[in-house]
Amino acid sequence: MAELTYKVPAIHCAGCASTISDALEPVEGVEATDIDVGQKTVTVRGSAEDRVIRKVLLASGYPPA
Amino acid sequence: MAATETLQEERAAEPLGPAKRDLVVTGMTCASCVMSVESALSSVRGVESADVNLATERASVRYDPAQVDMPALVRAVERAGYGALPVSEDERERGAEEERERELRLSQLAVLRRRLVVSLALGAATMVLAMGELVWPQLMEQAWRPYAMFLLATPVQVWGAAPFYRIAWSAARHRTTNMNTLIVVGTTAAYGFSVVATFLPDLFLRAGLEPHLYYEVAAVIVGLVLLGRYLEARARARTGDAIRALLALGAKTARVRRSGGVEEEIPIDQLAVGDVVIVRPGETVATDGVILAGRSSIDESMMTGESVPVEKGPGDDVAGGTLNGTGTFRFRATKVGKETLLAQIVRMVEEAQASKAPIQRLVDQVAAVFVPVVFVIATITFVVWLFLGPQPSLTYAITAFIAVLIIACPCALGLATPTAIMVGTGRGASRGILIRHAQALEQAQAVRVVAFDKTGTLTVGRPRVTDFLGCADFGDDEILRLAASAERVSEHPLAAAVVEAAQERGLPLTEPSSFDYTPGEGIHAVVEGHDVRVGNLAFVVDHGWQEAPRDVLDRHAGEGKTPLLVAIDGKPGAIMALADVPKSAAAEAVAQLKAMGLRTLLVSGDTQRTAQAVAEQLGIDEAMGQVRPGEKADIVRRLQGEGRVVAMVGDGVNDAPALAQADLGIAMGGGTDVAIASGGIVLVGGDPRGVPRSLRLSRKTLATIKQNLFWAFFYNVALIPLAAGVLYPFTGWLLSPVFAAGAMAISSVTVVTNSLRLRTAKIE
Repeated sequence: MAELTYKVPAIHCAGCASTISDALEPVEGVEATDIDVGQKTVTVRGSAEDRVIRKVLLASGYPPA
Repeated sequence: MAATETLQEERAAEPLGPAKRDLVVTGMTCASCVMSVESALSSVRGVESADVNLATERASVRYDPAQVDMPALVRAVERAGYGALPVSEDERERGAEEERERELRLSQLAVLRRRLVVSLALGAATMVLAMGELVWPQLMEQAWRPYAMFLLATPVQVWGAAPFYRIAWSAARHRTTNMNTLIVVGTTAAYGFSVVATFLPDLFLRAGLEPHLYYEVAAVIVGLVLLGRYLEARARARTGDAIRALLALGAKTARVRRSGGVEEEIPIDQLAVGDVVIVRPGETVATDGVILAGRSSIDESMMTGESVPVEKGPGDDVAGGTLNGTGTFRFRATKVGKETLLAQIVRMVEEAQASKAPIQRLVDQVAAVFVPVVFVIATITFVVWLFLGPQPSLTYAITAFIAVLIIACPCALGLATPTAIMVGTGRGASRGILIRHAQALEQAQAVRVVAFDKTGTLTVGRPRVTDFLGCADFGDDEILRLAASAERVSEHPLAAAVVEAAQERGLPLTEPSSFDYTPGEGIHAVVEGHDVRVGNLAFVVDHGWQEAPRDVLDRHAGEGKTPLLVAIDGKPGAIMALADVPKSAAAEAVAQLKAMGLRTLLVSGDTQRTAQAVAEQLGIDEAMGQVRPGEKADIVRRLQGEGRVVAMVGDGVNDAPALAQADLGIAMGGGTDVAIASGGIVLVGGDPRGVPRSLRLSRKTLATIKQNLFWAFFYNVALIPLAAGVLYPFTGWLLSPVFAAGAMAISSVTVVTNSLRLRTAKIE
């Protein structure tokens, strides 16, 4: 199982974190998301494609760095 | 006091840009009405410009909101004798408004039909009494005959012709005239003369004149004019079908997946950005978004004109209004309401239909002087017949006077251009060709040179693997599989091309166990225990490529391709060449343009050699390479300086100045917003064949306009001398006013029907 990690500078609080996990949850192949508010990182486990995750992050207003 | 003044000053200094709003204008019937409404709106203080379209019944007004407001504009239109209703800017309200407008039109059509049926029936009965002597010779002597004709003709004149009187009266109050004035004066003269002859025949007898009756002339003319109006209103309702068809594409509800997996069906207007929408087989995609899960083939033909469904999967964009094939997928809404592509297309088409072609300005100016001139001609005709004509000279004078007024009604003139533009732009929209304004149509048919941008316009705009030279002994597929697996994690466009090449061959990719990336050089990954490097020569030279075949690399460079070398476990793997390839339809598009007698030109930022290679491959006449971003507009200007009418086709931000400079800018729909804003025509699907299609459509539309104008002028101008009786001294032939009314009705119907032919015009 692959793990992809993104630096997302726009994460500020737990609210952002739940918005992001809600946005990523319906994506095909996403099995779990782990969002670290302090580090401003999003970690996605599963078989989802990097391209799709980046696009969804961008569309939900949290562009990956 | 001082404080208020400052406040007002501040308010005045506030940079309030001009506002643009649309009004629905009802009651317009001809080019003269358009002129009256335009001048009524333009004379309001603070109005910058007003464009009135007869076919759409819309007025598009640019005004300074600091000086004038909407109610003032509505009042101005109403004072001119027409009805006005501001068009709401809110999309949701507009739906309801369009429904109201449709109902209003339908009820108006029903009222018109009632007037028409009653007037025609009474007119026919009056006609029987007028001509009945042919079967019953004693009819003429019956004392009741004039009274019976009076009873039959009066409802027609008073009720049937009421709309003409109303508009003619409001025009008269503003000291202008229009086609209704012509009808009103003509029929009132016929009717009034007859009434006097019926009740006070002595007045005529004393003057030595016969008290002739013209009731049937008045009644039948009103009936025929109403018939023309009715047929025209019905046909006009159909010219807007294309827009309604586009609007009908939109889904009414969407199935939304709430967090926790609960599904819920909601009305489309409650859909918000970020909602996850589920699309089942055969359903319409509710709004614009990006696919999260699932795959399907999607029919986008309604937007792009491309009939082959497009395969889509996670990460791909979908557009609202397109039709899902057999798969199920879910997507995240990224745009809703008026932000969606479909809403933008509808708005663009509406704006184009409301815009006025330059040729129409000329028509309007002609129409403005037309009616007064006709009155002068009619009066001269009357006087000449009265003093120089044969006996009974008054009868001839009145007949010719009425015939001239009736035949000259410029109603077909007012419909000639707008109906053709409406149908033409609607037809384009259904094939993925968005015509932004009517000027573009006129410019398009004059185009002699078509200049193309290369990347994204004629080519797919991203690199693809075009050459593959395997050097290892374990097979090309295995090399490509390892290279693509290594590249999979990278975001680089060249890497994506390698992955795509592998996927096209159906190779199963695996996850690299380690990966690192040297920007500008290449990647190094470990895949299934193999040490894989993919990159430029410098990156792999120490890993088995000490003796790289320079001739192969030079050949690729010469063709404008980017070489990519693969090293596996320190040994040569493969040399790949990547290049941006032409779109499959590009060569056909160029061939079609050349068949139309146009010169083609490729303008590219690539090297001259690359540009030349692509131009040769596609059959383009001339290639210009190494063009810096700002220079494209200069090239267009230079061609224009040589007296050529130039169309520029492009998609990028750097094309925008050239698109604006060209006589006709054609923007590729997949391109940037700036390019789209600079284009006169937008091709939604990005298919280069849209260029010849749009040029053909423009030619056909303009040809239709010219035919329409010919018919309108032919009826009006050619028949005026006949109506005035020019032929009478030679042949004894005089146009009956009844035939004049018939000819006029036919001319309007001819023009609208001719425009509707564009709906099925061949543009392939």
